[in-house]
Amino acid sequence: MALSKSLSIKIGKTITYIILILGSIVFMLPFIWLLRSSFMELGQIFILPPEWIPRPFRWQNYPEALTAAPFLTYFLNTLKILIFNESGVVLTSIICAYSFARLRWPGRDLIFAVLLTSLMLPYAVTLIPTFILWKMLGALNTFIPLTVPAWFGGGMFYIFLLRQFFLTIPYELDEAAYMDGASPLKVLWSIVVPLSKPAIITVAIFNFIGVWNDLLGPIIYLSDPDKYTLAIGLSVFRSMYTAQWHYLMAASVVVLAPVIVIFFIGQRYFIQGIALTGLKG
Amino acid sequence: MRKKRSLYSNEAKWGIILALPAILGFLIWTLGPMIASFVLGFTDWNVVSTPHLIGVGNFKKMFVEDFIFKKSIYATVYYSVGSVIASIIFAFLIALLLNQKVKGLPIFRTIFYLPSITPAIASAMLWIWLFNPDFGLLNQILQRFGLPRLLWIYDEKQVIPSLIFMSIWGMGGMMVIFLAGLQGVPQELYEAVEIDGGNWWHRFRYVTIPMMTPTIFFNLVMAIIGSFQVFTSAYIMTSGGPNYASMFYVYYIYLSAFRYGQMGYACALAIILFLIILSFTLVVFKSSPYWVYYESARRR
Amino acid sequence: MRRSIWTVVLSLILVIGIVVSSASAAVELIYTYWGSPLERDAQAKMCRDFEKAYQSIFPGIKVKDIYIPSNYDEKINAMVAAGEPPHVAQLGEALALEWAEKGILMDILPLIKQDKDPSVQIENRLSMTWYWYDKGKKTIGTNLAAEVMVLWYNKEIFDKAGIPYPASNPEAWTWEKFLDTAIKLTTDRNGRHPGDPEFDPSNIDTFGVAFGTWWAPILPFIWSNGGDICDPEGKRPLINTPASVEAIQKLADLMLKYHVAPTPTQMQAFPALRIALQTKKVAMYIDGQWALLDLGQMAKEGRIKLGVAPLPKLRKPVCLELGAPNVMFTASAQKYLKESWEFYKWTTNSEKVISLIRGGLWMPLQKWYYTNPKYMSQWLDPEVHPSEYKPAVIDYLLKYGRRSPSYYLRNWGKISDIMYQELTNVWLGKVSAKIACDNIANKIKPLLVGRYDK
Repeated sequence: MALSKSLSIKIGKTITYIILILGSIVFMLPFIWLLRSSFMELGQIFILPPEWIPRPFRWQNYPEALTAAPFLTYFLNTLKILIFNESGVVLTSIICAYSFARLRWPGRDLIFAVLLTSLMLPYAVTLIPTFILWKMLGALNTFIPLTVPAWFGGGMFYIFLLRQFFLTIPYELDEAAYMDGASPLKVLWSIVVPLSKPAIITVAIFNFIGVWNDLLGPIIYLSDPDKYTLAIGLSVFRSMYTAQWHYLMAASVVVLAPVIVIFFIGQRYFIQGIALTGLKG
Repeated sequence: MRKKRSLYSNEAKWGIILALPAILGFLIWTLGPMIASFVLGFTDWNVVSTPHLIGVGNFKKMFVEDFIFKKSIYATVYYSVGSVIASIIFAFLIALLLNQKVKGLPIFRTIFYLPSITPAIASAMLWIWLFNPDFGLLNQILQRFGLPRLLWIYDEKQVIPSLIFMSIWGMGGMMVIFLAGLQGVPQELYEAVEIDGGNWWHRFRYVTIPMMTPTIFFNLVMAIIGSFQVFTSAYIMTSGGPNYASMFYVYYIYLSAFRYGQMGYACALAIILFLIILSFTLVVFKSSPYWVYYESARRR
Repeated sequence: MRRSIWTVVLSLILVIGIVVSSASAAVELIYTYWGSPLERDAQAKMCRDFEKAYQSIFPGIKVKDIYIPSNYDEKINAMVAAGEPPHVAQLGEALALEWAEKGILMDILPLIKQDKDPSVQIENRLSMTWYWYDKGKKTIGTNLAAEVMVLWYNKEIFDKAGIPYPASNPEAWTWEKFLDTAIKLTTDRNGRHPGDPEFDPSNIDTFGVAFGTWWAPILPFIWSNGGDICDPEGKRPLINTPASVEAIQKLADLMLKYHVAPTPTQMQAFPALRIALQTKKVAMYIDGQWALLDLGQMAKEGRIKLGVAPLPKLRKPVCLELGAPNVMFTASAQKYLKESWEFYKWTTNSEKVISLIRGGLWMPLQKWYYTNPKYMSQWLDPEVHPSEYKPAVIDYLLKYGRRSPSYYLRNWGKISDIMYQELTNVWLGKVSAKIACDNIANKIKPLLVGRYDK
């Protein structure tokens, strides 16, 4: 019995590995394609069926691409937006989600539903009214439209996501804290946040990637080239008549690298069991 | 007892204060543009001149004359249903695999997330090759198994299934959310099942699934909202073709708004989309008490 | 304490500085444009040159050039809607005339009439490049640059096969000769040509010819065969007349019957057509003159023996001219009319962007660049422009040039999209050209509501 059980575990593990490795190959394809293209001559990129080894190996795509536009400036701009935006999103989405998930107040669920409708209109029709609004607020050609709204809940996607996670935490924990005289903020900080780390990390990662890759927002709201961001910098390589694919790919790899690192670090917090058991024990 | 009551009255106050950022943000930046779009849907606005109210003219045109409207509704609903179901199931299964104790877990997780962060244009170029009827990898595989070659995105009937197939690849975001959700499943529940002599299926069926329903619920709602607004694949890969078979609704809104100079009509199209998404979302929300399980439920 | 005083003083200085500088602020013109990094640099330089050249006339004048590499339509729409349009801008042809009619863009005809500058006179620019509206009584101006559709080819492939180059004389370059050439240049893996019973169309090494399936490569052939999309009034579809259908069918036959041209799915093996030409995957290809930017660079580096020819004629030669306009926005330009006008003229004066023209990307607007040898030598770079460029492109344009419907036809954006969508099934061999054209005719009928210039 014991033997067959350990055997079945072994078989299960093997199958898991096979699926994961096969899947990884498939899921790696776009990145490998991107990476190998970034070292190729323009002509070799599109040969079909594709070649996987760059010949010649053009590492100079990287310096050439990165000097085609002031990428350092773009990077610093992106960083500025990112810092203000990310901190706002993480902080206020937690607070708002907490209210919608664990505090009872009249009209809460209705208001939540109404706020959720903000995700249901495509940008194509809200873009111009929003732009006019920012003009009236005198904030065009500044980072304000790209950062300040982040401090107002950071968008319903994140609030909704966190709400779902906060709802899974047993309410007895809150009650016990309230009995000890804790305030809602204290409960949020000492009970809900520690138990929701994976979800909060998820929000942080998603928003990081969202801001990092956002092209439309900066294009619409910024007009000074020295305020442009990395995403705009990348779009330079694709224009109406000519696309410099090899440069696009090289610059893309550079821009993508931090995202991969951030995700790699962030996912370490997805470790089963630390959450509830750790606290209760 | 008295202490508890005072806590509850405080709770409402705190609740509103803490929700205020989101509410204010909505009132300041979202509500106005939303109302504007709704009103403009009943006008002939073309961005540059003063809009005139034309009643339900846009909607009449949509339902009576506009052949693209019908095609794009069909394409979008077809795609949404397919891609929502396919990617949720797939993301959930991968998340389960990536939640086990296997070596190289961080690397596997990163790899499965990669397609979601690779620039859309790079993945599109790759998929254009995979789908290519003449040299594409997919047809080579089909041929090896003696199956007939397909036209993939170059055929009116195959283009939507092809794009659904492709959407599975971009499920990384959903997978991450599932992964985060799996962290919250209390270990002792699994142990309890094991003590009762349950096997992996019992653990999955009676612990994982119920404990994950809040996350599944979230992914379902967001997938519906997102998939109805699918845009990039039509924009980059198919131009809405062949013969309008992948003219996704938001792509058509984009064309009407910025290429054809018919912003009023685009707003009217968006109102219909809004209503469609809203009704799908409402159905899911209304159904949730029957299948979504919250630890804190008794408080709601 | 001391620090806070300093802060106050500093900010005071700053505020005063801003007030003073804004009080004496000179005019700042806004110019928006798109393009590749090369176009960006050349146009930015053009703006700086303008600032320098006009410092004495408009002291302190500045041009804020906003380069918008993507989502241009969204941004320009938003700027206009918010009441902050640029003074001068590049604009997509689909929106330009619509906006002109609404008065958003400026009618520059009165300005031209008052001006003595020869570079902007109606008769001195290629007549095709003017965007007319209001029954031809008003104009928003011309393209930023002229462009035509031509046939590029790799001379080495011709030399090796011992086949004469395409004729530079449009009258002599017939469809029959073209098809014959394409067949001879198409070779499969075993060196066989179409027509050979053992020819293997699924393993073609070199295609005789390649062309994109958007409207610009297709339309000249429809015209050349005596067909058209619609009648001259822009009211009645002619796309399903025998002449139009025949032209489209002939193009489809190149792919499906003769196998001398790649189908759209085969084309994906070489999205960068210039590379396909260089690597001998394709012997001839139909594309815009703008392709010369890259092809010319390759020729300069000795990586390709480049040739250029007119498009082959079906019945009569036709040269399609196309391009997006540069315009002035009424609301903003009116305020600084003199400055905006001088800047507008500057942007469309080919002399000011001669580097882009010499590099092959653009063609000049002023007629003297096409007729006067002195001016021709300014932009024709023998290292870039092939030796037969003059007869094959310049004379072809001057004699047979015809402007694209984007210059005059209402609803052109929608009409061209419908054509593209319906024709996809023709290129895949699923329906005949006749059926697709009947469908197009039916669908564009309600959109054919006349022209802007008539």
